Amino acid sequence: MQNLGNISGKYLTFRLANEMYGIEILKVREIIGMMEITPVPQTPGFVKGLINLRGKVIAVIDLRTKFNLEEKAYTSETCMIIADLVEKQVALVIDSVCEVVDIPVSGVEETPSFGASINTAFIKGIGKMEKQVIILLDIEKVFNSEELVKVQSLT
Amino acid sequence: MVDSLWEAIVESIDALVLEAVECDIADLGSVIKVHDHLMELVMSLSETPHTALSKIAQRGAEMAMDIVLQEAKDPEFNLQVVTETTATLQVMAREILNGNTPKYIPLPNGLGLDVEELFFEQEDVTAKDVPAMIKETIQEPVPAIEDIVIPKTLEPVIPVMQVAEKPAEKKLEMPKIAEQEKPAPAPVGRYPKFDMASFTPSHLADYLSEMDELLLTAEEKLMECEKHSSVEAIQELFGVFHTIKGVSGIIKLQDVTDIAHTSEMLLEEASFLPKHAVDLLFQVIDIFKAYNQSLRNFHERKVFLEVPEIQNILLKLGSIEIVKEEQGIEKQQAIPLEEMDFSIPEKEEQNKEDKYLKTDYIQKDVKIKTSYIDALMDAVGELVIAQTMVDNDAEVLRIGNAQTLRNIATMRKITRHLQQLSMTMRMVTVQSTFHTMERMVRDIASEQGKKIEVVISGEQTELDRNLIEAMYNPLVHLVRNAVDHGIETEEERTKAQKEGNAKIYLKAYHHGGNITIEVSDNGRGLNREKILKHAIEKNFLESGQSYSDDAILQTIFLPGFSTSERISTISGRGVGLDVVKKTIERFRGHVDVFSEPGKGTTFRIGLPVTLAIIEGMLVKVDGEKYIIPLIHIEEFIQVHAKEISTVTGRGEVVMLRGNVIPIYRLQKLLKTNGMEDRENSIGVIVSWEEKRCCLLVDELINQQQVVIKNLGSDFNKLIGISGTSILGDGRVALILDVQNILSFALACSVNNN
Repeated sequence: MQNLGNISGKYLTFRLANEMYGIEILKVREIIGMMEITPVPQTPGFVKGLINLRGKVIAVIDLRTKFNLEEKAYTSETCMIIADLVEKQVALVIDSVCEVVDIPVSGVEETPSFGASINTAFIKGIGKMEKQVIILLDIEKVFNSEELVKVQSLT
Repeated sequence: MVDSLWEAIVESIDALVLEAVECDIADLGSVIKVHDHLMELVMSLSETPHTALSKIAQRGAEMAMDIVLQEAKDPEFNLQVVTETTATLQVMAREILNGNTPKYIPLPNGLGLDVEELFFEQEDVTAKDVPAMIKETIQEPVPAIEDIVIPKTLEPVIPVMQVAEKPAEKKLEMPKIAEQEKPAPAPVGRYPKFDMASFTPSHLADYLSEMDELLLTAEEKLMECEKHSSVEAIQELFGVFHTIKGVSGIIKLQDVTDIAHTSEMLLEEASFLPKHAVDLLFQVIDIFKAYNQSLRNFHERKVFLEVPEIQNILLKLGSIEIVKEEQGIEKQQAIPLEEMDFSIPEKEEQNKEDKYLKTDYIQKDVKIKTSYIDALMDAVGELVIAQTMVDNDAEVLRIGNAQTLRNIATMRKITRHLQQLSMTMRMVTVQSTFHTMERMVRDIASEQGKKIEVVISGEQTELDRNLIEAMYNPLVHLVRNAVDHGIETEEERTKAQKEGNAKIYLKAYHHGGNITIEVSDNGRGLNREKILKHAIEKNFLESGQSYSDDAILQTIFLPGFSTSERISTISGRGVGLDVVKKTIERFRGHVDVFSEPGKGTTFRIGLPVTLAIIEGMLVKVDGEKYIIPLIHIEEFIQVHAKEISTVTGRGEVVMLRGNVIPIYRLQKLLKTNGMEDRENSIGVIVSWEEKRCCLLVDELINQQQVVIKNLGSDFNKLIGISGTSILGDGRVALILDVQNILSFALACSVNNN
């Protein structure tokens, strides 16, 4: 288990369904509204497609689908977080952005174990705010765990 | 010291500075005036304790005199140094007036004097007058070139550049003979001299890039000499060494100049180069390269990494024509004198030099930083996108004014032209890459005692620069494999009764809009059985099945094929071939292998000509736009539903002028939802190599140039999609990979049958 001190810090929080998630602020490049997405074949459902971000082509990931939450039509609040990963940028579709919070060491807890059925590798820890818990994402691991292209039979 | 006297000097210097600033290179009178004034100063300064200043003034006067006598290589540079010198003197004189030692004031570049050395000498004299300077001030890192090289001792040489004392005593005996007849070989124990003050960093950068080219040429010519030693080739080589001597002389790179000079003498009258001479010259080139590398490291503000061995080679070069017996030099065999056709150049040298001076050097190429070209490429790419946006703009389409439309059309034409020009700028020939490979073959082959001839063709074929860079490592892999494992040993070849020399062919040619690079050998070929056995062991193939030769050979590209057992068990191929394949595919290329046992192996790499922009046809399939590269499109046909016949109820075909062409529905690949059969669709006949098929699309939109944007590593497993592009409306469209679709579609139809 990693040191909880490394987990504390500034997070951008956002909503997915009824859950609150947090992404390290240093990994966030910008937040943009929804735009037309070009679908890409042979990709798993959570890969929505590609967008043109000022001349750069970026993959769009729907975090609801990725986390097996119920799919929902996009609203005016739906937006995309452009996240800076080590080698690339990705656009994450989320329900709405909340705020930037500073999570102290005392406010971090280890990811509880949910048994083998739930993959928690991409959760760094749980942040405790007044009333709510924030799921702190390790955004790199979210995409390490799965390939973006389904190698599938096309016949 | 009398202050009033010093004040007079300071005044005099002030006047001098003005004169120097106003001095004009075209007006020699003004230069002479500055010179005279400097000499005056030299006189008056020499009477003061500050002899260092006198020396500086003296040097400045000399530089001024060089201008007057037309001896300066670059008069403007000289004048600049002179002006800087006067300014430096001014500052120093004032410091002294204030009771300080001026020795931390940097001297101008190119003056050729060392500040600390100067002041060290007079330390004793001035010690009482002037407060002692704190050492640290001088050693503080200052990012100017002359400050870095200020040695901490009096040694007028950069300490790091020193060649360690030669351990080999044997060599010391030899040059005695050499020196009698040849002036060129430097005396033993001489340290390489390198005068950092004689050039600026930008000189050094120019020099390095020029040397790179010269060395490349030298290598080519030398290889030519090795193959067919002709007088012409040797003369050309001579010319190259001469130029190397010249450019190194300009920046006073004494070591390189000496070696080049000695090599040049060796080549001057030669009509034939024996093998050991060629070997030696290759070593010379390597030394130059090492030297360049050191300089480059220095230039990039690093330290000297290695010091090239210089004495040794000088001695060898110097002795090469006089050595009569084995002298105990490694690698050098005894050379019968008769075999060599060198005569000792003496007075003729002057004429020879003139001959080469007369050869006009016309500057055909300009060196441009690659980062500039890349930036230009990007900008042009954006321009093309913007142009497309303008062209498709609804408002623009409504314009009725003929003049405005003409203007827009002109603009479009220029954009296109600009784009083509910038594309050409990216292109470089494969020549230098091939020659590097040739050199590599030569080295590895001689290490392994093999005799291999390298046959190069199509070296003028041009390829995107980035592609060539990217292909370098794969090519090294393939060529290395060919030498290591493809070509048999001499004994094996004799045993197998193979005629002729072992050969490695490097070929480059255009093929259907693509570039093909081939690396082939006439060696033992791939062992089909061993590969099959290995592939089964690794579970790449199943035992008991029958596979085509091609299917078996392809397994050598699979990752993990070669990791466990080394090569020899499978006749040697497979060293990192998966990496080779991956690299090539990353650049939208492909690699194939062909092999015939006993006859040899061929690796064929197919590459796109350029990476950046393609001509594409924009089509619509189920509401989404896709781009089909125009290069693969043969024609478009109307396909009525009733014209489509099915084969055994599954595979669909269409007849075109008596040919049966398989149909591939893009929906299948793209997994879009609409699968309904249309009455009428448009068939795009695409082909690659011998494969052809008909892709069904809903609509043709238009033909346009598209700038390719990479999809990134996450998506490189996508079947049938090679990249993306941004359309005029700002949306992303996928580019179809016809090659991939074809092999996929045809594989499907085979299965279906």
